[in-house]
Amino acid sequence: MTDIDRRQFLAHAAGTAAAFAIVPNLAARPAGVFNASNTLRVGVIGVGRQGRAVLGELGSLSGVAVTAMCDTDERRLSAGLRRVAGAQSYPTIDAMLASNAVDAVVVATPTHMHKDAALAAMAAGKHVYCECPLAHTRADCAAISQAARGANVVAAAGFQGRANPVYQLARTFYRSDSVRDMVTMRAQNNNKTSWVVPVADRATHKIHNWRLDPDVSLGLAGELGAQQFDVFHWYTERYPVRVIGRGSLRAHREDGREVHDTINCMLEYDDGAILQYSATIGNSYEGAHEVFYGTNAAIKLAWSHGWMFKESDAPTQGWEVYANRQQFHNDEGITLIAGATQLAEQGNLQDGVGLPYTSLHYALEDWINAIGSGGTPACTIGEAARATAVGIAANQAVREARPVDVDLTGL
Amino acid sequence: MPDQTAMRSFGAMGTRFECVLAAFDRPVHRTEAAAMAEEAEFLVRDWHGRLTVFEPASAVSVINDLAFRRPVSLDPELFDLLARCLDYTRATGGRFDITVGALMHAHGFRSGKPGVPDAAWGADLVRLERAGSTVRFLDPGLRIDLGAIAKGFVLDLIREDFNAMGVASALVHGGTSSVLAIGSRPDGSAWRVRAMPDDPDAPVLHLTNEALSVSAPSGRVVASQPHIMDPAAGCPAVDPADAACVAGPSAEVCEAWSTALVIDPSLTADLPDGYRSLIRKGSAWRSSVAASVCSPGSCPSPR
Repeated sequence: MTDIDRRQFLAHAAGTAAAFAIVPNLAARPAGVFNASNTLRVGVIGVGRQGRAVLGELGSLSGVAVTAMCDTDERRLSAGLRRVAGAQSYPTIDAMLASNAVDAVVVATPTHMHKDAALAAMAAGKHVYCECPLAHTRADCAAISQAARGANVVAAAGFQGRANPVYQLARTFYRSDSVRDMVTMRAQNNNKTSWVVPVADRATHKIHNWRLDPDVSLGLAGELGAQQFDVFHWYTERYPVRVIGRGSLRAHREDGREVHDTINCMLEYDDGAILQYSATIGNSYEGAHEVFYGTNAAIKLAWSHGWMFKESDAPTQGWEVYANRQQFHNDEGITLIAGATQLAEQGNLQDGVGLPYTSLHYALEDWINAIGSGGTPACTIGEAARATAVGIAANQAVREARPVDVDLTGL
Repeated sequence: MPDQTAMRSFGAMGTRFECVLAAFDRPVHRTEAAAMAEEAEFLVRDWHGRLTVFEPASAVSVINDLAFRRPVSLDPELFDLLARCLDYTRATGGRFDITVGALMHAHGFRSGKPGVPDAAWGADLVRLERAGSTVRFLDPGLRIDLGAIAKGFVLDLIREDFNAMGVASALVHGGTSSVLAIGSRPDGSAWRVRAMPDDPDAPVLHLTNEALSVSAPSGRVVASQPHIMDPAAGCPAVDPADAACVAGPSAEVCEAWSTALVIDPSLTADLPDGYRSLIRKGSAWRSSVAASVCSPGSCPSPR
């Protein structure tokens, strides 16, 4: 580490971790939007919509200062600079890395540009957080993964479930046999949106609307699905071996796009287990969530919230008596609350329903803490490469309407 | 309606926003028009997350928690917004004041039940240092609350965005009380907005490239008290107007002044140039211009 008071940073990181251990949902009050004298200097590459969200979250983390940003779009860059006090803009990634103004970078460019930015940053000795998915080709995933293995930096990726306190809590239930034998898995991502970035200059339309460019886009399966597939990889510690997919244009038939707006996938595991996945940008019902169905219970995860639905013949565990519950039509969900025991003792259990921060916040905080402690981030580049490879296979299965084997060799 | 019209509604900032994008300065596919409306939603949600006092992670919540203990560094957008809010406080003689946050809690407007009034308030207890782009509170009981101006602020940002994207005609509102008219209607006539949609006798304002803000104490009532806080008195306004409407170029300015005017209608004379007001007291509407129904063409002067 350079330019960071390591002891102070470690103390901060340890303090944060300890607080999380007590009441995750109430802890990690951001020390702010204030500048400490010893800070991790972060540069953000790409300040479009996701990049600006990153700027906002970094601004709420203590011990961090956004000192630099770059983007090829002047208007976005200007908007990014208005969001951060004291940051410098740079015309290129190389210029930013050469400026010695940053210790770490967040790569928030379009997916197909992740590789060049991540490799350049790691070659320059900068810690890297790369947005999800890791890259748009398996070869790029392998290149980033290889570079991360050889670099003396903390490299993380934005597969956010792994740093999400509700997902971490639910995983302890899953791994401790509360679900018992896993029967099947299902996930969806419904969000009514155009997937179009409006631009005043028609000449830049294709650049900004890369998600609708079939040459570089991973479609719904890769851009949205990979993030969710990783939750299943993380919980089950296994990967699917084959993907069957179908896609179609259901909501946006008239604007000439080729990337499907509605997809369905079936991800097969070697023991016959199935993960069903559907995504659409034509309807928002029930948003994004993942469900594990077991013989004793189902666990439903919806990013800021999580629930367990127990079967009537499942053994009773003591903590359920005090649990917060929520009705879903005929089913009653036990709300999964991080730090529930302590909150219950304080009579504040209801306060723990839902997370106060975004998943992005927790993922970035985890990366910052890993840099401070020299530890391993919740989502390593290797895990990101494998999750992305599954997303790439799923996208290929959807586009080509044929079964595609998942190849994780060398990742 | 032309094919390229886009509509979108969404919940944010404790209310419902609606956008209608009706015309553009170039041919635009319907999907792209819809995407522009989505941008507006993203912008509102983004700023809701920063300005709300109901979420502990918001920038305003962080300021409220820390600014007495140490200077809190602000990004340029937030710093400038707070600076303008303090300007509005000075201009309105303290009738608009973002430091009512603790007062709102003390009088039960935020928690749902009246609390102990140990709050501090007053813009003189806020120190903004432009050199370091920081804010500091001079009293531990001070809390800011931008609820009275947030919608106007984001509507002005939406106008910037829409102008940059070539939107020539649009109407956006948040909860019907904060309205932004971009251009005129596609047929060239002004956007017509009734000052209070649930009052059939309320005047209709004609808006072209203008904003409108309506403040009224008829919304939330706690312990039989109206929800308009009078910062100058440190308690809910005793005899507010029934409604105050301000129309003019900036939605943010309209928001600040409508808040002030509903508490003290006599401030109408101090309205900035280019702005006009309508005040309802009892059943009568009184305009800062001669006509009870204002339109740019019929208003002889802004005051």
